[in-house]
Amino acid sequence: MIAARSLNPMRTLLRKLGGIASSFPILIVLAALCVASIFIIMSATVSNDLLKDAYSSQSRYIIIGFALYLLLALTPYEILVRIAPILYCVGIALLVGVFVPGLRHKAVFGAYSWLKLGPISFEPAEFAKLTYILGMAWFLHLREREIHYFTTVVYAFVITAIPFVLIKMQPALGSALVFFPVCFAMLFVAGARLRYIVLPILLIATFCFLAYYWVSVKNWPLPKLPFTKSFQAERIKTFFDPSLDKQGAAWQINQSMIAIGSGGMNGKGWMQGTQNVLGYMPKTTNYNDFIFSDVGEEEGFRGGAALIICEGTVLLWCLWVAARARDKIGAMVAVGVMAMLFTHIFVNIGMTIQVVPITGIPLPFISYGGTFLLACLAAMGLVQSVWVHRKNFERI
Amino acid sequence: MLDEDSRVPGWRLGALSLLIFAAMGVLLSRLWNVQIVNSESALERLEQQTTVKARIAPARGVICDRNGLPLAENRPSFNIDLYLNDLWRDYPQTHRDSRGRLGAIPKIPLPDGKDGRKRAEIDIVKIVKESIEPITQTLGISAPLDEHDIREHFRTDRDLPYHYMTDLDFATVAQFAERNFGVPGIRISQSPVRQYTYGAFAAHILGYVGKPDNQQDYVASDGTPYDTVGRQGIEAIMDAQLQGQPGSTIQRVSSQGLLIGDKPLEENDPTMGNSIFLTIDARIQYIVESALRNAGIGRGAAIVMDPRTGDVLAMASIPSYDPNKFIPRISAKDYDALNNDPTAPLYNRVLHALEPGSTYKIMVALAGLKSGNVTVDTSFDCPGAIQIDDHLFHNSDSTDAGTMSLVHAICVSSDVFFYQYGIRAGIEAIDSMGKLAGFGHRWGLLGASAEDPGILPGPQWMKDNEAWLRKTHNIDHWSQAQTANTSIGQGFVQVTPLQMATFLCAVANGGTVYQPRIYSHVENYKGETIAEIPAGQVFSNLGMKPSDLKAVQEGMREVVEEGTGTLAEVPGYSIAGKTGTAQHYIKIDGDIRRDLKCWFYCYGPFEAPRYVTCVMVEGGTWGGTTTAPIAQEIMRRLFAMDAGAVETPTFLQPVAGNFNGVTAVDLQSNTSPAGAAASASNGNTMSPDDNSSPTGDVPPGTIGNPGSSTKHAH
Repeated sequence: MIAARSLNPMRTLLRKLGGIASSFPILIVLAALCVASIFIIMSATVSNDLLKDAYSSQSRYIIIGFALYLLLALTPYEILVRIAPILYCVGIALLVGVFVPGLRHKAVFGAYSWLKLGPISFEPAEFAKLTYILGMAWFLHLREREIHYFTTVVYAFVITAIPFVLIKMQPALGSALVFFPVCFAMLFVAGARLRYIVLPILLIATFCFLAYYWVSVKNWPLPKLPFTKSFQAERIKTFFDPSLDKQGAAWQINQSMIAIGSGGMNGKGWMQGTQNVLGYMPKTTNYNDFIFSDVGEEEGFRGGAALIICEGTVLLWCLWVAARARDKIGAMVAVGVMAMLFTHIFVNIGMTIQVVPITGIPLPFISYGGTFLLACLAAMGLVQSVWVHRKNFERI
Repeated sequence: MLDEDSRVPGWRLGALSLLIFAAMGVLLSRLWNVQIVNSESALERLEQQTTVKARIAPARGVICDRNGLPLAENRPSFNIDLYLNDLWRDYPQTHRDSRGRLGAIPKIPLPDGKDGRKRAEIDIVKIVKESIEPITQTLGISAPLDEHDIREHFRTDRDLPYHYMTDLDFATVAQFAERNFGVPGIRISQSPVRQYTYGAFAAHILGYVGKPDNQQDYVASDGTPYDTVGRQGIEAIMDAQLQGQPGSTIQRVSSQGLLIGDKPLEENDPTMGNSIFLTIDARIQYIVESALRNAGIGRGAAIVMDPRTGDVLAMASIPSYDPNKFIPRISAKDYDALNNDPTAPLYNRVLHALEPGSTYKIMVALAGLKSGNVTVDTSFDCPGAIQIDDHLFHNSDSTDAGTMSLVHAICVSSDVFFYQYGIRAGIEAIDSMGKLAGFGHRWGLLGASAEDPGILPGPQWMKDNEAWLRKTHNIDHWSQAQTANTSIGQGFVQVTPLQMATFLCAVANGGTVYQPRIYSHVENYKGETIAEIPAGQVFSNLGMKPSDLKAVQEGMREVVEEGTGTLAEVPGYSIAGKTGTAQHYIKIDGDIRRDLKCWFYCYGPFEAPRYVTCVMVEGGTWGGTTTAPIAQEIMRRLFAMDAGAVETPTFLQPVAGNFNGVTAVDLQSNTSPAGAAASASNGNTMSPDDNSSPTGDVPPGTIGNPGSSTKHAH
């Protein structure tokens, strides 16, 4: 830091830009994903008159997103981690804000997930995911010497539970659930005891199996607990057997499976998807949560696989950056971002092809939605910053 | 502040990268499974939900006369079709409540099931009403919804369109097409429907089409049932030939049920049914139809045949109906009116068996000559009445005519002569000649159910119907009185005008009984003949000595020239004929009435017969005055047509039937009032449909057969 300060600011900037340029393969992948998203959204909204301009609005967000990316990439991540407690609290405050009638946007599909501050509306949950990652990095660094302690894991769970509960109350369970994989991944790389990580995961797995057995096999009603909703039982049931209700709860997954399955190897061509163009896809989600169905239908297995590989490449790059990070903080930030994106990618694509139950979370870089796109590109900006400010950065 | 040496253990990052590889591997393999391995089922489901298959109704084949003039054709009918599946699926979208929530699909309760559970089904009637009302109100049309019908359709064939309105006029169609009502599931379709070019012309031959009683009996090649099938006449018996094969279109449909694209994805053209070529000559049919109309009769029939081939050239029955009334659907009210009309306009009287009266004497004459028991020269003394089996048998005019032989007896139609002639000939001879001539036998011209076999009475027939005769007539053996009655075409004898004409063809052509023919061949839509019935198929030969036949023919010529049928004479032509007037009683409003069946049949020209005409009128006065003039008009115009006169078939209105000419029974003057009254009082009313069983009530000595019906069930 001292060395950096002593250098000519202009030279520093050039060095940093060189650092960004040195990761050009991932920049190309990100750019390709974002450009593809414009076309995919254009096609996915073709039968929806209200969203005719969605793709141009998305392209504006892409430009803003890359500016944010650049800005964060050039910002030393230590600075952000240092102010992480404040950022984390701001994130929590914004999440509380959606429960304030004056601040919140009107409900979208039954959930109060939007905040309206003056002229801009955004989803604080996506912002909170970033501040949470930074907050966790700060906390785990703070507890570095006590990282093996059980209490560290407990505190980390508390830090995770706060945004989880707030987002769950919107209600947006899918988005809220993203925090736990991030928490586990960051604890894992921070060096927490394996049993503290593996045990909760086993617990959750047991719970999932129990839910399957309880709801789907035995068809018992869900116990009346604060975190259960009646439609969740339906969703669990229809996940395990979509033929249960063709017109009701399983309609989305059925339509998605028809769309993707009928795409075959080569797809039907851009803007040519029967399911998409004729409006059989769920109208309100096929340009965000179910966008992969459009990709699968119109671009076929080749397009879908390419998309999965591109997203996977981004994730692997995050790990690569974590491995080359100057310090554990950088590695934790990169892994946190990786875990966040991974959860989104796996759950989003997985639900369209019946690997996981339907939860409404979007696909990074592809789904329509400004806040989420900005959050993803900002998150990549953080990872880029870790790369730019890696160990031998001074010696460039 | 930051500890630069603390680094993440490499294995932990390695484990995470393995996790990424595994997860991406799961997604890729699952995607492969969904898109490549199982794409077939997805494509199938896609086609199922994004396409609608519409059936294109085939056109029925054309029915033509022998010269190719179409008598039954097709015209386009515009229908409003309801796609019930689309209507109910769209209902929640279009019937949102005030807060914008989807409307609930209306249900109606069903009768509780066996398990006692409450059941309900979609109230399709309510859904249809709410969907269609704005449209019908805008267009200013109204069509009542047959609630039962539509519910039944919804239960059984909900994938097929329901014809809500058929045969819309062009103005309504244009209005409908102009406005996009945007209601999925309501579409205009065009389908071919039957058109009977000349109205009531030949209605009883052509028949009509309608909804089948049992749809499962009429299934097209694509497995869907026909909604229109032949119900009567040629339409019914040739239905399998006339039906075309339906086509279909497969069209993309959006999630809102709107059709996408101008062109269907797949189009299979329907094929038109085969054309039937009748032996009927429309010009001759027109002559017959107009002759019957000109005579102003209330009930009757006429048939013209070609004695050289047995071809039916014309066949008409009065009263008649306009088969166009059945297109596309006859209303229940109109059908009931036709069906319950006591004069039975739906009934083809040419195929209806009645007492032939004296026309039967020709057959008896031939039977006698063939048996050898009598000869042309055998003469009988003919007083006003003779005693047979303790009963007095009167001549029709009850005068003593002295001695006469066969030719003159035919000419003056002497009953007393034929009583004795028949008894001398023997009932066996009459019976076997009748069998050769085809009496008591269904010719099957327009299907067995449409035709009476008639009755050829004799000892064998009596044995076969012993129980019935004993019960209703208290008769247990064949008597000479019955032979006498049979000899003049009374008693149990019943024949159809078709049988009489077919028999007369044989008399005219030298003895060959041809199987009558009403259609000659079937052509497919390309004009290729695919089935044929050869002309002149021989049923039997009367086996007469030419001189004997010649004598009978001579007697028939004298009938027209100087006998009972002089009103049938056509100047310039020589024709041979025979009159007949059969006693018949019917019950009208509980009263017994006399309803004479008047007959005249003839052939001509005498030297080289080309035409056989048989006319029968119910409720006439006498064969010689009621039916001979009608036959005369027919023959005259036939000869004139052959000489170059033009007969042009035109559209004919149906003729209403009546009971004019039915007279009150004068108990004093009736030859045998006791018998008539007795027989009528036993209430022996039967429908013409089951004429295979014996009818009539003829105690010995009675002339007349009051067994009849006042109502023809159709």
